[in-house]
Amino acid sequence: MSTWLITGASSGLGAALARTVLDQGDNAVVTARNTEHLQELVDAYPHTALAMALEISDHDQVVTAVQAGTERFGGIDVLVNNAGHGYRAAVEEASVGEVDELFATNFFGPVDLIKQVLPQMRERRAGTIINVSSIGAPRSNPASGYYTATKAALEGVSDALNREVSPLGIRVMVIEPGAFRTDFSGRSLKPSQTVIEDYAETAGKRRKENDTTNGTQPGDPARAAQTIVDTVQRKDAPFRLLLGSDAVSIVSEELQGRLDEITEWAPLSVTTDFPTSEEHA
Amino acid sequence: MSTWLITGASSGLGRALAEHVLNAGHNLVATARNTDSVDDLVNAYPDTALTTILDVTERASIDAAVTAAQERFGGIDVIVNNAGYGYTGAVEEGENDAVARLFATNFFGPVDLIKAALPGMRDRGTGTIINVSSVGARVPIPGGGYYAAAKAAIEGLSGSLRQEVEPLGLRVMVIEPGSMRTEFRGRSADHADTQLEAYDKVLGRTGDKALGPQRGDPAKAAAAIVRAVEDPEPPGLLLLGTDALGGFHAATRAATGDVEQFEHLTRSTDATL
Repeated sequence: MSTWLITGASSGLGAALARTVLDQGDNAVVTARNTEHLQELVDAYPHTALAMALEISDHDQVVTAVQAGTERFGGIDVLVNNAGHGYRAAVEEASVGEVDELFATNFFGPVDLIKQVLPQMRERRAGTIINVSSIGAPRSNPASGYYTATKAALEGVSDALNREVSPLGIRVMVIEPGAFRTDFSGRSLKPSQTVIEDYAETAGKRRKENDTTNGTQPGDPARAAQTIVDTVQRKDAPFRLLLGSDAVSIVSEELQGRLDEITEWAPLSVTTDFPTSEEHA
Repeated sequence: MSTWLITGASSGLGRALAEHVLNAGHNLVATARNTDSVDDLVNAYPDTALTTILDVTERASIDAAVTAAQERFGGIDVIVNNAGYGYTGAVEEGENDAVARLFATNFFGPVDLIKAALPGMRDRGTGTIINVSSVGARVPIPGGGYYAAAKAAIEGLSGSLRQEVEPLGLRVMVIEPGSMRTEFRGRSADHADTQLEAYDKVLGRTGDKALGPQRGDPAKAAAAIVRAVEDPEPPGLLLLGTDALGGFHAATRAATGDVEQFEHLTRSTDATL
């Protein structure tokens, strides 16, 4: 039996994952900004679920959640940084305050939580850290520049972290979901206050008020949750796991497109080396 | 003839690019936190070089530099977000204040400069924004997590920005240099004060730390950047150096491998139709 700590467990993928984990008999520290939304889970699993209020950008709450989970269940085996939200704005339209808040929630908060669980995971030479990113990290869209930046940052830190802690017995995974039928495009998506007419045809079309995907996304959160749980149990779990058929085609296309461009420009790329010593001789 | 604005023009790649651009007959606003280090450019090119103090973390200095460029040369054609520095430390060792400073210089500052330059570029319906990243964004090394994160962030943002401004006639290019023979490992490097023993080995803090000489020639890199900018169809991403190409291919192979090996799991999460 493992103990999970799942942020943003009140809705969407986080809620589905919490339920799957608890259903199979594991312990779960489930967190949300408002614990009222977690009451149903705790009522259903009074012995194995612990609800904690967690605003991820609040360092004291991060420390408290990890301490409480550790005291109750003896340690955190799997950390899932799932809480986060979207932000739709052309790069030029964004306000500093909105972007700071986005980075606090999607990047700095998750990193803070990772730093809080690492000492005990290192001590036990075991543990899994899962950072929920998005296919929006490898593939940028208009209006999503800042969201993509936070997720790409989280993936960058995860990649280095994975190399730092795998010799210590700790695994790091990045999950890149495609579009899932959650409230992400509804409750979890914030638009900028400023609107610049020049971006009406690009960023404007992807602003929240023009979003038409909500409710028709192809991904099933319950299946995603089961797949995450199954993958964590594998010895050969990948560093990066995509979720959803749409993610496969989008990421494959992105990787191929970038490879084509790099190959086309490679002749210029290789002109910048100093001559090697052999060439001198 | 076009007008360039280059941040961090006092040393390294920024300095090499500044010299190349001036030598090619372009106008240049060479910026640095201290203009003493770029004043010689004005002596050498009094009609086409202008220096201004620019600390990318100070919004007022960004606005002043953009305004000065506008007044002297009538507008900026090419912005090069080159200023930046490295930070070494395990993720667990990262200090909040130091990481916040790193992001201020390597991400939020460049974004501020972009936002300050965009209205002028949109007005004229032309302009190129160049963000200097690093192959370290794609292939993070142990100890390079926060640096990689800030660079990956600016690359991610650049991808969206490109799609937003291309229809307006503007271009966005990301440059990923491999290792360059500059002072990046010296003057441009910060590190975490906290050092946990658990990470000594993986971060290479034990034993001989000697690194081989960097393969990249900043002067040749500068020439390559100018060639790409002047191409009628410039790339969105330009790697500089054979080591950058090698890193790119390794990262792409790893990503493709994960996608293919676990595709059955990935596809199992679709809702049943």
